[in-house]
Amino acid sequence: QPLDQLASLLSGYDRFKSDFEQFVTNERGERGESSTGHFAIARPDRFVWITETPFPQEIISDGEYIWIYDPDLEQATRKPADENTDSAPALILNGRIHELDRRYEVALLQQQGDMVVFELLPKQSGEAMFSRVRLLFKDSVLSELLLDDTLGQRSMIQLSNQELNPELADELFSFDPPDDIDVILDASF
Amino acid sequence: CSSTPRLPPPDTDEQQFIYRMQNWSMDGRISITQTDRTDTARVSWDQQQADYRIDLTAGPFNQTVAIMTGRPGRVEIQVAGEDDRYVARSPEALMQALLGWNLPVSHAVWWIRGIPDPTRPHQVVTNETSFRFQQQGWDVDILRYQEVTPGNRLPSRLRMVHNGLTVNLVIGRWDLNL
Repeated sequence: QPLDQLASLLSGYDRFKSDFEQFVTNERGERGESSTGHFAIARPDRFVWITETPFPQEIISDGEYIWIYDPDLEQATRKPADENTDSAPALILNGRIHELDRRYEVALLQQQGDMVVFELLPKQSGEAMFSRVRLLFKDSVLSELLLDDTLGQRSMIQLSNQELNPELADELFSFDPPDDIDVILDASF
Repeated sequence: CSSTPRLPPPDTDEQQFIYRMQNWSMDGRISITQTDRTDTARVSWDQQQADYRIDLTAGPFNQTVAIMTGRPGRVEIQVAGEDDRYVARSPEALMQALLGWNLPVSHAVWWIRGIPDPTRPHQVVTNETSFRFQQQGWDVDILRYQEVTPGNRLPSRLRMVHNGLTVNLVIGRWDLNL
């Protein structure tokens, strides 16, 4: 059953680290700027997503709060963590299979040698932020995410230098803002 | 490569350069701060003569938040998670209803290029470090410039304030289709 196969691929590790390159194309297929960076996940709910190019941005969550730090905007915003933890990518990267199963129909698209491709389609349209998600695994390690959002934009994220269960220092998931920037503690969702 | 701001306001040659801009696009980062809430997004603005398309994306996966396409007298906004498209004569009311904030696109198309809308009155607010002016109830402060062609600069950082709303815009890339 595809869900079980996906579940086994997404479980078996608590921490995950990877570099990424992200390409975005709009509904007319025009390619926007690609961005590069790296991310790290410590299940169940800590993650850090650092974009380096074309502009720096840090998204850091200790599970309780999410910090969004924009050096260019000289601004850091803190929001309650539970606002964005139910997006498909967060559920996937955190391996929350039960939640994924509740929201998405999982199908096995392709299986060839060491490569497996799954397709996730939302069970109720309109509510999900993504109209389609595809996941590509190579040698049982997540290598590519393809995300089609409801307005026709496609985001393709290619992973490299992935590491399962790397050592991750706790400080990685905490953020203390530099003193010369605007810090906004945002209680609302 | 943002150059230090020359003393404002842009001189007439620079204004001519901006008036002659017909087809251009910009990529930047925007933060929208209101009394109880702040959102940041990536913004790309594509202008072809009077037609514009503004894409707002956000989050680590660059999800589209909204797409606004329009020209004077008509705007269409699509919002993430909703299939239907909203149409109105001007963007402000529709943006406020759909996004919770608004920007007067027909004036901001000039502001983000560093000058007041030439078809409306404005007051310059004199200070040394930036070019600041008030127009249509907005306080616009051009904080940093970048040179786009020899002798011509466009903003790389500006702030637009209206009542309790502060919009900070950092512009990474200008594409002038010269």
